[in-house]
Amino acid sequence: MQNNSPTSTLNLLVQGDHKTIKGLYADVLPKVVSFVMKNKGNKDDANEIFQDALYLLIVRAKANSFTIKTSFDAYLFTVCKNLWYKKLNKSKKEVRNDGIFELKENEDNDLASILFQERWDLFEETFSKLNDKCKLLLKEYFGKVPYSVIVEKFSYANENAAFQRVFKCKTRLKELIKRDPRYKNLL
Amino acid sequence: MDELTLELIASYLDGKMAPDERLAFKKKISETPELEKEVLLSKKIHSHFEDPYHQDPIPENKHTQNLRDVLASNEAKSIKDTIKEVGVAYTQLQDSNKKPFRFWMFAAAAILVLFFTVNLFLDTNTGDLYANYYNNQDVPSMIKRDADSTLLTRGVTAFHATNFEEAVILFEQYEVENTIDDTAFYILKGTAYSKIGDITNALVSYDKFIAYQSLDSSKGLWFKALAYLKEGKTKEAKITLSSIGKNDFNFKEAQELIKEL
Repeated sequence: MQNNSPTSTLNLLVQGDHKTIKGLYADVLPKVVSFVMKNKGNKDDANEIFQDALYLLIVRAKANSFTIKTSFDAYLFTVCKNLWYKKLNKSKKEVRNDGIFELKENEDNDLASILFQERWDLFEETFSKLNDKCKLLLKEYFGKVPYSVIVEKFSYANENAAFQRVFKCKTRLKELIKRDPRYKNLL
Repeated sequence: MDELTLELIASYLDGKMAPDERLAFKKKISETPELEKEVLLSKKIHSHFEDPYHQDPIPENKHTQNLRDVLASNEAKSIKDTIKEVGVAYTQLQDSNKKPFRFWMFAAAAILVLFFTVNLFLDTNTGDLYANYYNNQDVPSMIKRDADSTLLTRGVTAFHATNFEEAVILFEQYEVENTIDDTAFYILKGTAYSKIGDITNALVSYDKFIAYQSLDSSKGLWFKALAYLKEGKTKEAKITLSSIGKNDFNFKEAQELIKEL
């Protein structure tokens, strides 16, 4: 799949092209199997995640146009990883419903997974546009590192100066997100 | 939105407001739609970076409705079926390819056992030599502290935890998603491949390092020779070691190793 552009791969998938799907099974599924098996899952889990990821990407492309900024294989692998981590995270908290609500629940789960990946793309891509210092600072801040420690690590004069720097970086991040056309879909 | 309000939002979210100030600000949020929208975005940013795998409530807008329409359609069911069908065909093909492969695997395993048994008594033990000459400190440290290198950092961590298979996957993924500006990466990736016994990919990676690094290419030669040594390829190891010059990386060790081989 490396030779096709992500857009043309996506178009072929939307058309239901068997050869493209088969190529992705050969190129990406082994990586997904290896990843899932190293993260508390088995081969069947990996197959399920891979098929879900592919399905959700095609649904996404059919509903609204979007652009993939890496290679298609890399993006599909990222979607698989996110779906798996999300599933692990959810299984800790969830009490399952079953019966007549199952179909609706599946559709809502799929919708939630698509919106989750869209939020992921927007926030992570935007974060990567910040300068290195802001990235480091916000990583500490969101990692709940106390301002007193941030002051030491970044050699700021005091906690107020650290608060101001964090504030400026967060404001820049918000501005970039708000400028992105995908922002309106979040609300 | 003015800077003062933005600062108030930050103080509110950081829990830096006094209780009465907080209550008043909360009331203001509920009365001002623009402020409410700004706080909502700030909250979303916080939840994403503090707990990336959490699930947000589903917003109701045109974008979401388009997705709901496709998900509820027969077309979506047909997409799902196609993916499964191709998956079944792929699995069957994999299984049928494995049968003759298994026979050759057993045959190859038997030959290898014989080969290594004979070599154990006749030849220098290249495994021991590899263990003596491989030094983890020669492997470059590649930890970088920015968001783009998360994969790399995780790969390096897996490497040092001797989870080489995981390291290989993460390095491959990192290489796909990034431009490699520090070519020492190829030493690390090549060594991870060598550790899992995949000499072909190890050599490809070391060769990339040698090709890109005109000043320090001998380091690539050293690791390449070790990879050959690990696989018992003494002849190739000797040839590679002999390309390491007097002023190059590990020249003394290369000469010693040639003698021992």
